[in-house]
Amino acid sequence: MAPIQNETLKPKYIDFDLNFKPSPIFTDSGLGASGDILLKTDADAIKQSVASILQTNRYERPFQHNMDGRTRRLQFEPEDTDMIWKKSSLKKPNSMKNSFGGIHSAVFRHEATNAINRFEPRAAGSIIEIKKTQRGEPLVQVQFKTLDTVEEVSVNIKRDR
Amino acid sequence: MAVDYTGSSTTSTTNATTLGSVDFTKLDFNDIKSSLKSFLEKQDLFTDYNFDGSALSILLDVLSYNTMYYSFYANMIANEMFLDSATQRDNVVSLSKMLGYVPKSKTCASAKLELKNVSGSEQNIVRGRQLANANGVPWFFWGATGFTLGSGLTANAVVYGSNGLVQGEGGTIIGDRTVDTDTLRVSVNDGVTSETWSLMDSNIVSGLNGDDKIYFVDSTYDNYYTVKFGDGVFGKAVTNNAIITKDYLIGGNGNGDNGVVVFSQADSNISINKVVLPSSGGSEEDTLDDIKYYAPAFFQSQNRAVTKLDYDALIRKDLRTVTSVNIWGGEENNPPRYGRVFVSTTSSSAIDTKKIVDVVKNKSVISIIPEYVAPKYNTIYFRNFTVEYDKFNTAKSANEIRDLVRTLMGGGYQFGLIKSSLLFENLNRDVLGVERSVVGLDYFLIVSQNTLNTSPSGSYLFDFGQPLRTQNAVNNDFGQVIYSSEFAHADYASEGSVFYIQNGADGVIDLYSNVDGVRTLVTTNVGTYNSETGFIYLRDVQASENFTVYYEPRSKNVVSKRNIVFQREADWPNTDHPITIEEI
Repeated sequence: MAPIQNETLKPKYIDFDLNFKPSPIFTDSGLGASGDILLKTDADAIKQSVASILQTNRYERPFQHNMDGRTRRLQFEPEDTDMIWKKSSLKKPNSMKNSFGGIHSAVFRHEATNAINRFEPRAAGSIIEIKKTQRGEPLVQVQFKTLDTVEEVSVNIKRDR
Repeated sequence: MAVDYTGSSTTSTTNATTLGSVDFTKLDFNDIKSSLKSFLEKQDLFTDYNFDGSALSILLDVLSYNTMYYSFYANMIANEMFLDSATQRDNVVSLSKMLGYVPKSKTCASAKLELKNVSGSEQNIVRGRQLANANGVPWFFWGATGFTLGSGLTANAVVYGSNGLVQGEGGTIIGDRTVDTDTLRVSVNDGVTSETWSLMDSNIVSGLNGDDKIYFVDSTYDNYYTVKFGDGVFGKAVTNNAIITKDYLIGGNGNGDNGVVVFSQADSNISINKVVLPSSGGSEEDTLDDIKYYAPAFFQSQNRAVTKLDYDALIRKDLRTVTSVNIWGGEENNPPRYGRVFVSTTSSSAIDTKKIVDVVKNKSVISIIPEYVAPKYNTIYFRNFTVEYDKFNTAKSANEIRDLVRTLMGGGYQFGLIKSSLLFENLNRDVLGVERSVVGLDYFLIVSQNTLNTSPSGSYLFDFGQPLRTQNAVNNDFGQVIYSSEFAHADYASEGSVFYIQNGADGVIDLYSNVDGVRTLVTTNVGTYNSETGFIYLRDVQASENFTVYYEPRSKNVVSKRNIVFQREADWPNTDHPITIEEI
């Protein structure tokens, strides 16, 4: 790995890219890519972490059974639950007017927020929205500010059906 | 990046780290992960290891899981390599094989029945014929050879309680794990003749030659049993293409089939006249604990009965209902009988005592003859049983403390087993343990033995095995250190209807009559006693009924010797002999 010359620009958070793609930048001898994997730093590292948490299912991590992002459940959520609300004696809350799905979406938001607060404190206080794509698939949008840079960051997670 | 094995980068400014900081003693997942994190703290290539969502954390999870998996696996391998710590039955069985031990199979209970042919024709009682039902299982005749029972005739036959029988099974593996290997019969057909071969104890190969038609029973790694034959040197080898057939019974209800006295008819042609001997001998297969206990003991005995412990191990290995065993040499007997070894046992259910001798007689030293002696039950009477307590040290009343002591001394306290002695030290400790205010215990003992049958010759031998109290220190109400219950005496009918014995002077026993409360010496020196060994020999007491001899031992301790088994007076404590609670 090429040395980072300027210590003042050295990122605080360094992780590697879960896609395991080789870095096109760092070289050993100038003859080509070294084969080192790509790194994720600072906001990118946090975004990757948030996406990873939300896409983790319960009991998927060894000895951390309670890490559960719940996005898989959204995958099979009905696109439109207005019919359910119409049959129900309860009125659909205004806060859920533009949301994907129904009651489960509210539960998802609650639990996904908890998961982020617990497992990724760097993205604590995130705002989570669930939207739907043109194909009717759930799209989870997480917005947060990093603690150190106060940078506005947005992560989109789409689950294909 | 170019990183050498120590973790230091040759091209970055990262500080060198060494493997020396890794804690190899941590084996749990979380500990291993913490250790890896500590290791990563010493570098700055990656910093996100502390965040659970990071890719690095996922990598640490995988590494930790893998490490834990292999450490667990290595731990299990190490555990399973030793008999003490192995938990898998197949491993325990394999380890016991190294000690020459074959786990015992289930055994079927057997009973002897008197059968009657109620058909109009002869009946062949052949091996495998079901003759009775009892306890939810069929009972089969399984004798090596059958017999013919004429119409209207009766005969005794031994039947075995089993969940089924297998006859004519091929191959060497016994196909049912619940087999009773004692009932196994193996035949070998070499293409010319079919013969039944003999079972050999797995440990004995010495003395065999290449023509001996024998087989061994061994256990397999998957908990089956298998039949093994000789190799042509130790035992005859089985020829190629020989046909092997096996007959055996499948185990029944184990211990549950013992003591059955009611059998119902299973064959309309054969009725059951009576039960000659109730069922006995049924037992379960070896548990893991059994194998761990018996395999080393069996190895120590080397399948030879030389020491007392050898006899103990061999008997317990084959007869699982035995609860206690005592072995003593003939020189310890009274009178001494040199060249004999005496065995006495107690059992949770009736056992065929002949089997006990059979187990050891071929393994004992030449010229030593094992002999079974039935246990002799001595009844212990607690007298003046007094418990002292400090009333200022408890909120409990005397009655409550009495109840606690009574519960402690409940029916089975330390009694009922051979070699189980009553020691004041232990009893005192237990009584003091019932409540903190209890500070002392005192009692004296009387021991009794019954005559089981009247002796036509008038001679009786009582073995109390304890030193006798001296007459001037006697405690009991009768006032003698040896005395008996009353009995009728044929020789002195004119001198009264009730007689008893008591100790006289200088080690002799005298005969007394009791007429309306007046004790009169009838004759002296009808027997002798030894005040140190506890033997009482009556040589001329023509009692016409059974009687009980009472003996006051010198000590508060009574020690079980030879075949003596202690049992407590059944209805103690009672009004006459209560547990007394005294305040101090």
